[in-house]
Amino acid sequence: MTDVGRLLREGDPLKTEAPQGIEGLSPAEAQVMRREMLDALSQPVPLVPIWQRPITVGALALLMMAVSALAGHRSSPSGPDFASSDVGSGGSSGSVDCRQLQFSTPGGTRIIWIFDEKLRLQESMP
Amino acid sequence: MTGQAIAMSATADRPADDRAARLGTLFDSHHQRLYRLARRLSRSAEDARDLVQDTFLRAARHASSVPEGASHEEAWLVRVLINLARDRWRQLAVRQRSATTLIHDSGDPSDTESSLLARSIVWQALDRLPPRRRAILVFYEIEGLAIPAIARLLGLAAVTVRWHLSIGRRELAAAVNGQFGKKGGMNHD
Repeated sequence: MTDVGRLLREGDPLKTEAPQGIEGLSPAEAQVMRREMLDALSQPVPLVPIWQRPITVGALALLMMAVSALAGHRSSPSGPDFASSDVGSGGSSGSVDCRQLQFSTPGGTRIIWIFDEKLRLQESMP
Repeated sequence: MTGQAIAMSATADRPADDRAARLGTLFDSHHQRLYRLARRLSRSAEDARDLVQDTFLRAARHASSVPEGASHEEAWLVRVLINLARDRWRQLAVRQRSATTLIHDSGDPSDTESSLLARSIVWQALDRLPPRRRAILVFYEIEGLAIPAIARLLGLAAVTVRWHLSIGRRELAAAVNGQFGKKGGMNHD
């Protein structure tokens, strides 16, 4: 098993760049950095235009995806087309004892299922 | 809405001198530790200095979001630094996607040469790891932090840290073994 930990420690750039044991920024570098940070405190925060903010961009992308999905769903001709209706058994009493479910497959075949009052399939056409 | 108004007025009411003093203390307490981490996450000392500078500039611009307390401050700064490193790593990765790693391939290296080469390979492989995984390896293998401490610092579950550590080690070992395998099966057990 390769001892990657040992290789990492031996190749640590801080050791090679600071052989005197001073691992880090020099005092001069640190002072410059500190001053720049404190200067930034007094400067106004640059405003990002609203269209460049990640949340706005993300929300817009989501909205566009939702709209296109909705539009695609509405205009899709390939989905099965369902319709159901009640069918009277003979019209004597007027009560509904049969149900019919009609739909067409993407290929265009129209299928009609007729159920009885207990929703058992009585007939299928074609 | 009320919460936002209160938070904004608290920030605005804090005197500028007070904020400057707090940021000054923040810098003095953490800049060396952040630089060490940045250097181990960057290809050059220059990149590391830029990372530290950008981290503290972000702290200055969003002073109100820096939490109180040394350990919370440190965790906040470390996470900002890793996020900045990640942004740069992504930009670099896009630019260098097609670049190949150059390894010296002349003759049989001596022991010193091969160990130098192994270190170079392992650091090059570290360079290709996502910054968070790289940071976890640096914390654990070089800085000697324990897994719970790393998890607290990065706001991750210990199991996630262990997972990154395991994958990262495996990737580095594969890089070293792969390169030495090509060169004649040198063993670095």
